[in-house]
Amino acid sequence: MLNAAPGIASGSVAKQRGAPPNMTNVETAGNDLYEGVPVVDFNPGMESPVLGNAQKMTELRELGPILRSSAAQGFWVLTDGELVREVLADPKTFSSSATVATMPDPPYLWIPQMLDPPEHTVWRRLLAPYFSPGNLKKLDASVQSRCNALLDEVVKQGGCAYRRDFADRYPTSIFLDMFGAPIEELEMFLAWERKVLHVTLDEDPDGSGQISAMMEVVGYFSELIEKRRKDPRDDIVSHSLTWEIDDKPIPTEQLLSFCLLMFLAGLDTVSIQLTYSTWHLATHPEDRRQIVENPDVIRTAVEELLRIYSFVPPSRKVARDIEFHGVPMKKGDMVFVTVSVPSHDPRLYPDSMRAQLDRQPNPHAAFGLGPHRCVGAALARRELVIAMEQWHQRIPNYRIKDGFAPLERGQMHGITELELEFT
Amino acid sequence: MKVRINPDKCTGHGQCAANAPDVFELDDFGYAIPFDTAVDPRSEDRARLGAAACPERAVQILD
Repeated sequence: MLNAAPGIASGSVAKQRGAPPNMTNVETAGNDLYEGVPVVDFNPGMESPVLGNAQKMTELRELGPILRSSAAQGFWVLTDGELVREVLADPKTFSSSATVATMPDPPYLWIPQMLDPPEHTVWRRLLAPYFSPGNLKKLDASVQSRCNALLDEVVKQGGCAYRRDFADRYPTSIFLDMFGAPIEELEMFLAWERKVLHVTLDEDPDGSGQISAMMEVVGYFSELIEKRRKDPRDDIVSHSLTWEIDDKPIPTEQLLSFCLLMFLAGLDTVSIQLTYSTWHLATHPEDRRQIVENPDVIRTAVEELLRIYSFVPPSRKVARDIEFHGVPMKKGDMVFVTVSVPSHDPRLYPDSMRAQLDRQPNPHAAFGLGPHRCVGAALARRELVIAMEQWHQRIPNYRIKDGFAPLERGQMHGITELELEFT
Repeated sequence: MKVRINPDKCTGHGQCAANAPDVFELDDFGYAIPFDTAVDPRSEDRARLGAAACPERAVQILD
C-alpha cells in the first residue's frame, strides 16, 4: 500500500511489548555490581496488579539512586526524582534519539518526540499554539459535546467496559475533530489503536499485525494530506501543509511521522489516565463522594490522580561519555527514566501514595519535565476535567464488577480494561 | 513582592497561570511571560501557590 512508511522501518516494533507474563519483574542478580552500582533484572512494563509498576520503582529506590538493569541490552535505571529532573532538563547529554530503554537503535522516528534541540524547538514552536490554554478555549464546546454524546450511550447500559465504551472513544473523537478526519472513521481508528497498542504477544506473535496497522495509519494520513492539499480546511493537517522549517515546506514524510506520533501519544495516554482515575474512585468511595458532593475539587483532584498514577517512561540515550553522579556512562547507553519517580519523590510527597484530592501546590511530573514536556498537556487536562465532571453528574455511584481483577501492562503501563457496574 | 520567571527553565506547563490567573500570563505558545511589576498585595498568596506549582521550578518569589 505504501512505498515509504515513515516512522516504521523494519519489523522490530513488536519487541517493545512487555515480556511474557509470569516472569518476575525485578530480581537482584545476586550482589553483582556494574561500574559500582547494583545490578537488577528489571524489565519495565510487566503485567501486574494496578500500581505494581510504581511499587516496583519504590522497591528499587531502596537499592540506590542509580541501578543497572541486566534486561535486554542492559540499561541504567534512575530511582531518584532529582536525577530524573537533571536528565530530562539536559538534552545535550541525554538525547531523545531513542526513548524506549530496551530499544537503543529504534527503526522508526517519531516527530517531535525523538528529535533533540534545535530541530525539536522548531517543531514545538509550530505545534504549541494549537495546544495552548488560550487556543483550547475554542475547542471546549466540542470536547463537552463529544463527552456528553458518549455518556448518553453508557448511562443506558447500567454498567460498562470503561475503556472500550468510554475512555478509548472519547480522546479519539477529539483527535479526529482536531486533525480534520470525519467522526465516521472512529471505529476504524479504534481498531488500529487496538492492533498497534493493545495486542498481546499471543495475539500477534511476530508483531506483523502491529506493523501493518501502523502502515494503515500512515496510509490513511497520507491520503488525508493529499485531500487537504487540494481542499484545505481549519484543521491541523491542513495547517501543517503551510508550516515551514528553514523557509521550506515540511516534507510529507516528516508530516506523516508527526501524524503517527500524535496518534500514538495523544490517544492512549488520556485513556490510560481516565481509567486509572476511575479505578481509583471506584475503589476509594470516600474520594468519589468528595467529587460528587463538591465538583469544585475536580480541578485539583485531576492533578493529584495524575501525580499518583504517573505512567509515562521517557527514557534517554547518552550522547557522550560522562560521569553522572559518580557513575561512568558511555555514549550510546540507555537510561530508563519514568515520571512516577519525581511524582512520588518522598522529599516532596512524604506520604506519596495517599491521594489528597485538594492537594495544592502539586508540581508533579506526569506530563514530563524539560523541553519535551507533553505538548498536549493542557488539552489532556481539559479532557480529564470535563470527563470527571460529566461522568459524576450522570453516574455518581459505580463499582468494579464482582470478581473482576484489573491488570496494568506495557512500558507505558495502563489498565487494560475496567468492568464497572452502576449502583 | 515580585516574581522572577526564568525563561530558560519554563517549558510551558502553565501551572503558574492555572493557580494564579490574576498574576501570571501565558503567551500564545503557553509559556509564562516574565514581568517586573510588583504583585498586587491581595494576590500574593496565589502568586506563591503559582510559583510552588511549577514542575520546572522556573518561578522565584522575591519578597
